[in-house]
Amino acid sequence: MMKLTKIDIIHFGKLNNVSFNLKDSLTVFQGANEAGKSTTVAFIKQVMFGFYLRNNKTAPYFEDYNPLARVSPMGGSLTFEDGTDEYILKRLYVKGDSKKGVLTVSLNGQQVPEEVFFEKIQNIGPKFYVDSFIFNQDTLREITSLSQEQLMERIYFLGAAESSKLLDLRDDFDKQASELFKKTGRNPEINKLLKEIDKQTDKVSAASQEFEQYHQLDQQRQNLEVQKQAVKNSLAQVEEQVQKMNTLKQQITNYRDYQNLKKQLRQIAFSQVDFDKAQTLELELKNLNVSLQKLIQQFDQITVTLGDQDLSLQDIVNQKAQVLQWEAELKQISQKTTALQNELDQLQAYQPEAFKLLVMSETQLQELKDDYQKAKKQAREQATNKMQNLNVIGIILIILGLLLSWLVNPISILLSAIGAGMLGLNWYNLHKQNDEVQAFKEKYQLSLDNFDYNEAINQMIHIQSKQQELANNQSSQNSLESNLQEVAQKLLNAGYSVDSVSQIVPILGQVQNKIDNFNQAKQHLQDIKLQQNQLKDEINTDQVKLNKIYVKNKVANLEEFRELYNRVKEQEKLQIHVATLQNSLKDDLEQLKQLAPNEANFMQKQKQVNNELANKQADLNNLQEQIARLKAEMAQLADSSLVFDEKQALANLKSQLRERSIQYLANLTAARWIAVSLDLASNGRFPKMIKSAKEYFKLLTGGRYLDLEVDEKIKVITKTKRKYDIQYLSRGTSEQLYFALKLAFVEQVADKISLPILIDDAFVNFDNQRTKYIVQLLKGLSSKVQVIIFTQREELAESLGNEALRLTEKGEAK
Amino acid sequence: MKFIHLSDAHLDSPFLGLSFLPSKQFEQIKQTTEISFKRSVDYAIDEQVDLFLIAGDTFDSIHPSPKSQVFLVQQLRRLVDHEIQVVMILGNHDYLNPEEMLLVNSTYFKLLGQDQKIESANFKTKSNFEYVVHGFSYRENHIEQDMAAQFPIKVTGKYNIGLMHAGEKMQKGHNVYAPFTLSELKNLNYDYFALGHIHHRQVLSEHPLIAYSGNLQGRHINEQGAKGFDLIEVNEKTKQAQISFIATAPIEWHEAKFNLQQELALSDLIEQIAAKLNAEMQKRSLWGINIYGSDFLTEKEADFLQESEALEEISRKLNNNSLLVRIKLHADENLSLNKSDQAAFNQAQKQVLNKSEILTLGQSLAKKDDWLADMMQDDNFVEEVKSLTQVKLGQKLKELNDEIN
Repeated sequence: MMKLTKIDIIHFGKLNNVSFNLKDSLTVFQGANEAGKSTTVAFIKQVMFGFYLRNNKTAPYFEDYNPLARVSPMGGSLTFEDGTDEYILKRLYVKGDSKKGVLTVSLNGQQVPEEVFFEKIQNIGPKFYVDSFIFNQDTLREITSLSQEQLMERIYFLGAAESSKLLDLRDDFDKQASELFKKTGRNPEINKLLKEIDKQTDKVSAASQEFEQYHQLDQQRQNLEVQKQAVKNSLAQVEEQVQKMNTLKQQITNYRDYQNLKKQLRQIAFSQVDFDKAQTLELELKNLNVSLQKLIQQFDQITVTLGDQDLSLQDIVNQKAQVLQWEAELKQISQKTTALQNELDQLQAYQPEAFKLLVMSETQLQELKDDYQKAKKQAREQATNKMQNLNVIGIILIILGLLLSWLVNPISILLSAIGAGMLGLNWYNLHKQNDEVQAFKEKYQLSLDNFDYNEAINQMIHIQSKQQELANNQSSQNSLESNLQEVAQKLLNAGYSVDSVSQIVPILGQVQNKIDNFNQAKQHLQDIKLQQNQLKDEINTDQVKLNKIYVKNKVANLEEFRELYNRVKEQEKLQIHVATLQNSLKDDLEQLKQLAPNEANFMQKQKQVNNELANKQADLNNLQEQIARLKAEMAQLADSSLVFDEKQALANLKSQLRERSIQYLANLTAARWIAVSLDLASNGRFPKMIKSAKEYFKLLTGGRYLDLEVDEKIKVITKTKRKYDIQYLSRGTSEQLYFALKLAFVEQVADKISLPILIDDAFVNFDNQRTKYIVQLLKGLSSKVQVIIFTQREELAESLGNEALRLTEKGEAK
Repeated sequence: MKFIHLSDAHLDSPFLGLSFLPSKQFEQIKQTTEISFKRSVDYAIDEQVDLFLIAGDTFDSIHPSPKSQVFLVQQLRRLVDHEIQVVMILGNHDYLNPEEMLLVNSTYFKLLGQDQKIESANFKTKSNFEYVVHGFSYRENHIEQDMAAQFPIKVTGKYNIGLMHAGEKMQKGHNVYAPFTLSELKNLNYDYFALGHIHHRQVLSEHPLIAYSGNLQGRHINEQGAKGFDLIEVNEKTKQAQISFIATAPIEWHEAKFNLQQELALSDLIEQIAAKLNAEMQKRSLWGINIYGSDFLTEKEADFLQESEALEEISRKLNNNSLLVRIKLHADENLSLNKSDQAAFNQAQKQVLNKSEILTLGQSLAKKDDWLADMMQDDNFVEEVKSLTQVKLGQKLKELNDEIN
């Protein structure tokens, strides 16, 4: 144990040049108030740790003890003995020095660096010393702020360098841990995570419903499939029934047809042979008739072509010799006529007046004669004969004309016209002959001079005879010509055009040919007629045969026979149809016989069955829809990754929780590690200290308190096991507690920090009993720790049994 | 005879530690479980195997998603359509009521031991090689009974296959997955014993052959390496079998170590980590990396490496479309402290960094949630807490030292 053995004060506050020798480990300074007790306490403290002059702010626990007398230097020295070693700490301050003063440390008379001393006391600082080693009214009051932390910090300080930093670190870790998790709390991460995990666990189990759901859906689906199969089966039955009924319905129709057709069946007598024969005969007949018709046609054609042959033609042809004679005669006459004509023409040229007369009628001639005579009378009257001649000719001509008109129309008309003209002319002359000579001349264009009426008349008669002759000739010629003309006319009538008479003979030749041809044709017709008759015979024969067949088959004609035939064919068809129907109905025939009359019932039944079919089909569709829906739902579930996702989310939360838990525990463990390390480094001082403190507290309270709890806050436990927070303790008890803890602490650190405990009037509130206890305690403690007590109480000083050092008011030691 | 032994498909099962991935990438990954299963079926069909054993936990829960059920039925249908005999059991995860399952109705499909009792089913290969499969399905979550003891004695003259979803009996903890001892199974002396439940593939015994085929697709960093099924080829005369592993998982999980021996600039650090992973990469993988010597990291680097940004940035530099999905920092054993403190911290480490102490600290947390309480019992969890504590404290003490010095 290092002990403070000597205090030398040069100048310090009110104290000047004072020395104390401290012999025992328990020293008592006794002195009245203001005797310098506290100044001495301060001196010990300040020599060790510095004066900190006028520096209360940084070191409030350092009072300013500048010497009152303003003497220099300030300070003094402390002498510590540690076994054989002697440390002298001398701290002086003169103006200009550091406010802490200048410390010199000597070990056994040799000056040494101050660390030599301070390492011995574990480099503690002034605060440590004040808080732990000095007890006065001020420090005692701090009991309420005492905490485990503070106590521990001080105690660990002894074990590890920078223990306060380690403690900070420990607290840091603790804080980090509590940020991650608190026993009760919502906000720390782990607390939150735990909640989330609860929720997610619910989600996972909700997701696991998918399994049930799927299974249920599958179950439903299977049930529906079974139902569907059942419906399908019954549907098939109904369909079969429907099919049957439909067939039956068809069969009913067929049955009806069958019955109707059966009624239509007839037995018809019919001979195919006869029918064929009849057809053949009909055909033959047709052909024969055609042939006959052709013959008839041919016959008719020939007949038509041939026409009614004029039998007179033969007569005309027979006149051919006559015609030839007529032609010869005509030729002769014609030559004679020409000669006469020539003669007449000569006469006309030489006797024109005669010719003028010639054309006059009897009257005209008479008139002429009269006129002539008159003119002759006047101018020898001259010939009137001519006029008469003219009239005669006119009349002749008219007569001739009229006569001829019987024969040949155009010529007769011409002749009549001429005759009429002549008559007219005569008439005109009669009325015009007025002025006799002139008039005569004008009238007859005859000059009386040249005209001799008689002569003229003679001449005229001659001419007339010649003319007569010519006329006769003419007449013969006419007659011949008329004969010929007659023949020509006949030919014309027979259809031959005869342009001239000369054509008659050749035409007659032609006619002869034609007659020959006609006769030939007539012969041919007769042949045809023969053939016709033959055909008619054949036709008759066939017709008879045919009629026989018809009669036999009771038909009128082939048409009827064909109708019969068709009917037979129809019946045959019908028979086949009936047979087919019968065949197809065969199996159902009996049933149909019964059903057919009750078709309404049947229809009703069919309707029912059809309804049933529709219902079943609807059921099936419905089931199929339901199954499809279920399958879709199942597919959706089968595609869902919900289970995995939720599980994964939970797993993620859990790994997060795991990771955070590791963090949390690592923080806690680190804090714990530091704490344990500090405990170990401090050699287990803390628990030991607590143990002592408990004992001391029990002792100081006379056993009223049994225990202490040193956690974040300090609590005390009474002998009746009641627990109190220290703020509820009485002042005395709390001071006792403070002593107990502090003394226990100093005791524990004494082996490392061997500095004196300074108790400065700390027991003022202690009653005698308690003071006794504390004295007892301090006495015991002084074996381990130097204790220096400053008190004004003499009885206390006495009770401590040692000789007390007296402090006078002047601050001098007695 | 050739047959496939497959197990623990865990359809619907979530992936862990990928929550930071963009959904597009995650969508790809989440399909891998089905892909792996489908590849197994493809293989069975292509290689015309005789038998396809499914050793339980095909689904992740007794409420499998319809999607997964439909998927399974489709795959089973493919197998039976190719006349491949399927024998399936249900495990502790998919202890469904078989009546509620979508299965295939075929002589080629057999759900064994539906009433949780051992059933023996006899079959013949196309070459008339006779074999019998003994096994049972779970009908409840836990089976504490020793089911192995109830398996029948080997049928003589036939090839005997055991099929069971179970865990080996442990000294500690709950033995609720039909616990068996290896000697029990060995004593049965079946020609092959196909086990499910343990996701890590392992051959428990060569003579007789007893094996876990492991799961089909790793779902988190603790299911590392190639995943797939076991192919067993039997010499029909000698009944000697060859077991081989066929990998089907499209994506594998891997973990790498990275030792930091000096301080590095962040960009160099990223490059070196990517290079390290690429060097170890064989196929598309999801990587976790353990960085040792985290003391050499600056606080900024350490912070960055804890961000998903770091994962993305490093992933971009990886081959095979692989991804880095986790970075774990590890501090050195010794904290950088002065000697006296060091001693105290080391001593305190022993006191504090152990499971019971950590669990005590976590008590109030554990009370909040059963799952959490169970998880905290997991040694890996405790190890991670320890490791992180070391990193955190190491980092802080380093700062403290830097400040002092």
